[in-house]
Amino acid sequence: MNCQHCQKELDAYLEGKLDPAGKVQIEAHLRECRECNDFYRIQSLAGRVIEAEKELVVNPFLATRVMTQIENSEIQRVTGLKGFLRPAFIAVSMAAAIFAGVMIGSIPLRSQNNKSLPVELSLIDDTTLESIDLLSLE
Amino acid sequence: MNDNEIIKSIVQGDRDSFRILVERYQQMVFRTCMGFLHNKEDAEDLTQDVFIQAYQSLSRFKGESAFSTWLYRIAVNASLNKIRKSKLKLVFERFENLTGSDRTGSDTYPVIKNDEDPEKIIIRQEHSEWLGRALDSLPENQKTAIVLSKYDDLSQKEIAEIMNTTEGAVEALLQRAKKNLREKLLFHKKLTKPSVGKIRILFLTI
Repeated sequence: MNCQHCQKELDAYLEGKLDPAGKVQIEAHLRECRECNDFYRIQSLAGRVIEAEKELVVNPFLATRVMTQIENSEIQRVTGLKGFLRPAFIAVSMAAAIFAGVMIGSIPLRSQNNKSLPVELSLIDDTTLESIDLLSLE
Repeated sequence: MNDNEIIKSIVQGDRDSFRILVERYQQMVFRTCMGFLHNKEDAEDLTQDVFIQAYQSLSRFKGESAFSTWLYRIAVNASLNKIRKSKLKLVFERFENLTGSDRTGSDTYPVIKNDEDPEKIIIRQEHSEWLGRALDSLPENQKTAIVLSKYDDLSQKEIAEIMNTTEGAVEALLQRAKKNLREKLLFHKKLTKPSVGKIRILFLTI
């Protein structure tokens, strides 16, 4: 068995998936080859670390923590909506009040503008009058 | 009650039924997060975030794949995002150190409980860090494939479904990942100085 073959089969050997003949071949190579033996020890250690990490059990209160957080976020969303609606309502009310004020204030002005001109003034044609520039030249 | 029935009732407003799903899948999600993060506290926090994210997007779950597959996808994406953020944070911390700014506790030490053998914890922590460093140096798709295979014992077919790819692609990914990981593990083992960690812990426990 060469190193390439040994390193390829190492996973299967560590997982116990090799047939007895393959197992004997690998073990013989590992005894002889230092590099492959290093690979084997490293991979075996990594496998043990993974197994140890997999054995860790999650906090038993995790579900409660998740549910509490979901509840809090929903409450926040509702209060957040209320918090948004209140200033929005105030802003809209103020804008409406200002608009109403402007409208009310402009009523007398409009009525003044709408007054009809005296007949004599309406007969005056401004275009025929002398330009102010001509007057200033004199 | 199967997953789809529970999901239907949650979407209709029965929020409390979500607890059943959390209890059913918490260990699975935690194991996946652990495979990426190698730290119990971080993995638990991320598991919590994964479930909250799942709850918030539950209405978008169409039931085209199994709920567990969908949850795996969320867990993998959340883990990869967390790693990316940690790397970015590390870069900023190194920059701060270079510019002489104050350090703000970037080192984390293992938590030692009274009933645990400190030496065992140190060794476990060091080995976890060593494995984590080697795994972190793999490309993201190789890392995902190896975590789902080794930590969650999923078949290539299941991994392919989670990663939205073919079984052949997963097989190739796993082969490359195992080859790279062997080299990285050997490389990082040579660089590891266990005595540094032990001295820190001894200093802390005195």
